[in-house]
Amino acid sequence: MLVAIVALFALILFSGAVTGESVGNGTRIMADRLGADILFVPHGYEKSIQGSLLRGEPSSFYLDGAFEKQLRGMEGIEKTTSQLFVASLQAPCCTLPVQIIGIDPKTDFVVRPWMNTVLTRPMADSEIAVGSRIAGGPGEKLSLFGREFTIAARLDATGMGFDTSVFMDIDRARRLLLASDLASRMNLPEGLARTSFVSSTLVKAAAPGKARETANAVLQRHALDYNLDFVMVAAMVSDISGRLADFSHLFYGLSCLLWLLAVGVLALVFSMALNERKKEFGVMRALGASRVQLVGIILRESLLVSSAGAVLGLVLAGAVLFPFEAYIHARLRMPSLFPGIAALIAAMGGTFLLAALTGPLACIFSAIRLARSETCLFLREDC
Amino acid sequence: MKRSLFAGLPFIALGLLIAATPYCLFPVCAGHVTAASGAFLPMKCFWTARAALGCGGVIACAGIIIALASSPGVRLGAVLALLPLGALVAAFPTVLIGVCQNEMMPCRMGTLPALCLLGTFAGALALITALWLHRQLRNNKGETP
Repeated sequence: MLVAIVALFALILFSGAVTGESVGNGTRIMADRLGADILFVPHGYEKSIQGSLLRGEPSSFYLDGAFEKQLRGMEGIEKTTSQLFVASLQAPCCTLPVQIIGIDPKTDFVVRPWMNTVLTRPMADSEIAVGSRIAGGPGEKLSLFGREFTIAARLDATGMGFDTSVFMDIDRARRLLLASDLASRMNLPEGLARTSFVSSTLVKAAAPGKARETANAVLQRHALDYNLDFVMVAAMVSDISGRLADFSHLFYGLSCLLWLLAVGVLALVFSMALNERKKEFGVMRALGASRVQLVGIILRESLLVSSAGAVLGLVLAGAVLFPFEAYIHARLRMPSLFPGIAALIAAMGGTFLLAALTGPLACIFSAIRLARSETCLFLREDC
Repeated sequence: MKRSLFAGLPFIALGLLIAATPYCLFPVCAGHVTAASGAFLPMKCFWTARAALGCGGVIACAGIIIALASSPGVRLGAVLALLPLGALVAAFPTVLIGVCQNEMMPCRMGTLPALCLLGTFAGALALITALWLHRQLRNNKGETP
């Protein structure tokens, strides 16, 4: 039971630390990668774009491509680019929809900077780049809407929805969509040009602190004409950071409670066990063991018990966290990227240290009190 | 009798868990692939689930034999048979049949790691139980536990 309590503490502490670190990594990368300050989408689709970016939930929605032209040269705006989101119903091996993201290679400042780390040339018409969680590597084929594409690059993991997305030239994505079975069910708004529609327009504000003012100015001018809504990237990041902070408070609180419980139970059990073994310690003292040696024996025993619990807890946590990493990522519904080896080793080491020290901390007072007692008292029947 | 029940019950529970995992706990994909002939064929994970169901049933039956057999030799034999069965449970979703390639498919995210863990655990438990039963046999020669 002693081992089980320490194991439970180690399991909760390590699992919580790794999960918190994963979400922290995902949030940091999201803040770096997104690049844009404001995302303009059709009215009512702000949740869809968040779902697509954060969790890779495929979705399709459309906006007039002429809107981006209106933004160029507007005060307060540094850069603009547009993206087209298309949910594919087909992918090799399995019917899980895949998010296709069409990017404009001339203006894109979100995907291209990190695509350039793995692909330095422009993509050909029949080429695509895939996220880290899409099956297939460079040179392999992927079928989308009945057309075969060659994977030109596989992007690094981001912990975001980009990991389960496929990237291609925006014009190619548009032609693919219009030629597919989905074209008749697209429900393109009336009057929307079929050669230039997009899904969202991303804006980098000239002054990041004034991004909201810029967004409001754009809405005032163009909201009615283009049926707009917007998402502030800073608010999205802040929302996830807030949820991460809540999770951290919960798990650290739970870990503290478990640690106190472990220390309390261990202290009680060791106190009772030491009392039962008084004669044994009396014999040791009679044979010449010093008080320090006696305390050392007791502390080593408690260290062994709590170390065994720490190892068991870490093994159980590892058996759940590592094989089920993708499942946990999907269920978290937040950007998350598993920590690297160094961070994992640090978390393991820290958890082991805290859990292993629980036993010695719990029994130190009982051990010192026992060692201070007179030897003859140990051997008396009525002690 | 009590000791043999103690030895057999974990395997009955494990067998039922392995059988139920791909259908209840971490269900496999429900879709089909279209062959060149136009026929709809179940995906690899469908067959992995069937195989796991069979293995789980055999493990549970072996657990019943372990719990009810009066001969310690029979119990030891049944436990030894569970060693390769545990390896088989882990091998079906990885090398023998496989599951979908896409990392975010339910079978790859949940069913595969669950079956690998359960198969490994079944094999390890079988090894520990076999060693325990072997020691029992050696220490209690001629005595029925």
